[in-house]
Amino acid sequence: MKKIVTGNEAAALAAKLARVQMVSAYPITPQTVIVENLADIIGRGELKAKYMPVESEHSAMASCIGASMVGARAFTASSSQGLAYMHEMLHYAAGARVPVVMVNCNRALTPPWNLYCDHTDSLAQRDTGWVQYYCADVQDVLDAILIAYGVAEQALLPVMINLEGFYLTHTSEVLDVPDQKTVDIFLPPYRPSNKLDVDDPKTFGNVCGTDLFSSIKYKRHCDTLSLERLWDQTAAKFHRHFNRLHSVVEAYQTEDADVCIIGIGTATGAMRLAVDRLRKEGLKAGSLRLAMIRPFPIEGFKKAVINAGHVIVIDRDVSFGAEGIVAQEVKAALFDRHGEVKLTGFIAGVGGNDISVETIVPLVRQAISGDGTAVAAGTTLWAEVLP
Amino acid sequence: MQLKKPIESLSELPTMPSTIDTMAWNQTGDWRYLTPLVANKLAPCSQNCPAGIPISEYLSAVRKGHIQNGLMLLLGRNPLPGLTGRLCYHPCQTRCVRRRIDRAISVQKIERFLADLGTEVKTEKSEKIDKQVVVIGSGPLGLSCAFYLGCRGCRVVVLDPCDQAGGALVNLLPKKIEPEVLANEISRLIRLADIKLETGAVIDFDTPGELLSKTDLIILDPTGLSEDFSAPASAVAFNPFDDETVTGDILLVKLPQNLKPFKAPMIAHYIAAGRLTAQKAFDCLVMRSGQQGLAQSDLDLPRQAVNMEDIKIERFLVSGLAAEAEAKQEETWDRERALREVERCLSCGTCNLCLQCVSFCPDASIQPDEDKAAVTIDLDHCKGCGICAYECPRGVITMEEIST
Amino acid sequence: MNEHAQKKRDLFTPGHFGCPGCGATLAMRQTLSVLGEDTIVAMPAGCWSTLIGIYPYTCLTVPVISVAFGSTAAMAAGIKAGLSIQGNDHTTVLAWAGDGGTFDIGLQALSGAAERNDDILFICYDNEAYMNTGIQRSSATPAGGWTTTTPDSALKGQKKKNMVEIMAAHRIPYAATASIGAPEDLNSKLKKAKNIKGSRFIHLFASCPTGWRHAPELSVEVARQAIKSRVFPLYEVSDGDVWHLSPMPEKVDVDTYLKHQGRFKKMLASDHQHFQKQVDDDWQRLLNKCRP
Repeated sequence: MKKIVTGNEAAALAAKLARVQMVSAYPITPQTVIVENLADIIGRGELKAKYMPVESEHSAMASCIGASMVGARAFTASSSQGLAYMHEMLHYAAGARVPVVMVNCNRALTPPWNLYCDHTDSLAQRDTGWVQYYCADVQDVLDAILIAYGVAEQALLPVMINLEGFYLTHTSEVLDVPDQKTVDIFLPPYRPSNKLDVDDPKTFGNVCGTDLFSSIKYKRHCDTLSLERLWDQTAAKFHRHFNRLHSVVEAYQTEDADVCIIGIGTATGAMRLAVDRLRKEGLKAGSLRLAMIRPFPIEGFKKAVINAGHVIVIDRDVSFGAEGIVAQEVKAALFDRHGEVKLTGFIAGVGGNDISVETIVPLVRQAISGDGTAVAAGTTLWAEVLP
Repeated sequence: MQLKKPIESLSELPTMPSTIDTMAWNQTGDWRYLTPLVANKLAPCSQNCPAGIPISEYLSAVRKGHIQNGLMLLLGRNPLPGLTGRLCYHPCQTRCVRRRIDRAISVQKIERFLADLGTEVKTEKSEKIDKQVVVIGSGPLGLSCAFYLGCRGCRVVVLDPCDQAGGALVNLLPKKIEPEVLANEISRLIRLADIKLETGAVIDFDTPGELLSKTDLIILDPTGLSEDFSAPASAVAFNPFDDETVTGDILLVKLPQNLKPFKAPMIAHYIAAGRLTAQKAFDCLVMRSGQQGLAQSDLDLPRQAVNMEDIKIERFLVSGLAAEAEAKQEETWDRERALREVERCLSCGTCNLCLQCVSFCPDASIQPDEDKAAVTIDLDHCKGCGICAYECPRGVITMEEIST
Repeated sequence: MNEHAQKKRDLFTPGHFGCPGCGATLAMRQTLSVLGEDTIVAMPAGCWSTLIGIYPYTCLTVPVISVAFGSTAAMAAGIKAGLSIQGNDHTTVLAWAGDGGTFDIGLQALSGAAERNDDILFICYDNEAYMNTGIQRSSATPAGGWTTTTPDSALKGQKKKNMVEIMAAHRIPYAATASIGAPEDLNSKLKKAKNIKGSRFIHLFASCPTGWRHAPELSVEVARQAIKSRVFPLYEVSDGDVWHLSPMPEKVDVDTYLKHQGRFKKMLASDHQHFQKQVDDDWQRLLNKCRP
């Protein structure tokens, strides 16, 4: 069944189709529609779930973890300030190995106040151990949430599905809504073997000495690394049911590209259009969308043909005092070829600025112009700043 | 001590950080400086009892419904409870701690009730010692002495020149003591100790019969005997309350002034004197026999008196069992009345499994032991905090420096 | 099913790291003996989450989760919601937090859960300071009480926060004070609370020999003296509205309570009349609220 919906509406629909049993809701722009829709869906009995209007995002994550620890499928959503508020609990969820799925609506962090799209909020959480996926369009939102539950419950790790504030949360597109029956086959109920259970009493997460701590973290790290493959497998399964494929990396015309533009989120659509234009203008350009940032999809990244001599990364975020976070990640992934590849990082689109073809093409030109300003190693170029 | 179950490989590590076993392997007992010692102590009533009867212990047994056990505990220090239960001046009641709440326990009434119940139980006789003792005089001292020697395995014959047994007690018949009661008490004593009693005996030291000449020891209690009965010249005077060892073959019991002449209310003193005499006589006989390995009676081991400061009146769980009217002297109680009174006993110095110590232990390291009828300490885990000792309202637990 | 569940098991086993005479461990032991094995416990950072045992071992044989410090009530509420949606409305979800995790950092989540009337039993075991981290003051520390962050040179001036009043203001079905020094009262309150649906709060006084500087054998006695002196009176509030005094022994002066504890040494020497007056005033205020 096809509908025209916004990214937020798609997220709420996905939670319903996934038959989540617990929704913790704290409102924050631009996520509010998700929790509003779910209140109504649950209130009308379309979804059998507990709806908890919590008093803070920290409690939102805490209550999801609690519910998940007794075997219930839990869901919540947040953004920027709220995500930052629950930072402690993000570490906790990943450490506790609970398969919570959270939608994060990327929004700038204050001060000063800005409600618009910016990736710093979620990228700043990349070390918490959550899987991070960046949606490109409305269909991607719904599909990724369903895949996320499959992955999370198998790996016992939480997943963050990121939607860009306003560009995706509030933008309408055509959505192919899967039928519940097929979703139920793809995603069976959550039945953990290890949980808080009065018939099998254990203590979870108490003080651990130096003897075992490293091993516990090591095991978690290995499990997190293996998620790239697990996501692909689950996505392949999804494809068999729904005939749509979601890869952790999406390459566009990179096989023979001299220049490769790399990014995350909706801007990757504009990047593909920019590639088309640049090719018309005679430049062999290609683009790569990283759908997953954590774990870093190193296998997919390497497999995507990147023979380009020049890589341009567009970051909608910055790690202050260093550079764009995606640029950092890409640099690390390209380390083997660091003698052969030039990398230019751009900070663009922060605080809601648009990244269109008109933004990207001049950036690319600037990067490869060789006039000394663009390609100095370690330099990050910012768009849209005062002179 | 439970062993620690280790995790030794990654595959054994649970994915979620959940535990696999308890902390029982952790010997927190190593933390202790002081160790709680659970030991029943003599209650104030027992401390004041001339016969040293373990009053709180036998009341505790009765309270639990083990009435025969209670009676046996009583008989172990007082083989004539039906008599003391009528005659004794009950100094136990004077010191009863319950006085400070409402009224002293009517110990004597309970003693009387138990005595009159009777028992079919046979005492456990010690291993037989091949010794013969003749006790002359069947008053409370003589009977008591004979009883304890008999329980120790000696062959005992009690001789009394009178036609009726009982010594000076005979003078109290029939008003102060019913003849039936006296007869029952004596016959039970004889049966339990497996001894013989001959009244109307002819006792002639100048021409001793077979019994007197073949016996290993003669004990002579002159208290109830008539004035014209004379002890033989070879008799050695012996005060049971002194710290003397027995010498000679004929003991003439010589009591302190306050016990002469026979005073019925002091009956418990005579019974005690009999027991002490028996104890010393037995030790002497053992030595003379050369028999190895005969154990000292644990009845005689001195027990520590409870520290009055450790009895915490306000902490007794007294659930309003108010005293009923003062009982009349002649009254004999029925089972129901006696058991009601037993409920009022605070069990000073004796563990009655009130379990306050158990409920207050932060380490679950003190538990009731029904077999021992007391609590026991888990020495592997007890940290020696002292709460159990402090909270015990009856002073059973003390903190000691013990190297374990 | 692990071996602990198979037979009627001891829910509290020895070998834990609690200090000798620890009132908090006594509190948990008494609580679990009433709540029974159909209980899940969420406990935050504090004495309990450290003394419970070292991973992978634990001294409790009910399911327990060690939660982040400020999140206890929310975590517990989530557990309850997760159980409920799966059809289990009988398991007691016990939020077990110290005074720090209740009065201070845990207050927001607790207020949220109480406002929603989430079906959890929240028990604060109160040893009147951040004891686990080394005796620092909390808003539960009484005025004049020594701690490392309110040393003798700067004793705490503020009075102890009244948590039960705060919880009563949320109009939850049941809020009460209880103490390890009054075990029968604690037992009856636990039984009562267990059978009520909705948010229930018990403020449980738990002596601390280490932090309060008293002899370890006096842990229960000190708690008793706190009740007798009315420093910690026993009462209940139903629906935030009906205040009811619990049975209490005869009143004594505060120095009966203060004299056992090294943390009040300076106060006892200089200012205990002021403290006596505060206690008397608070006691009168409570009496005025209570129905006969």
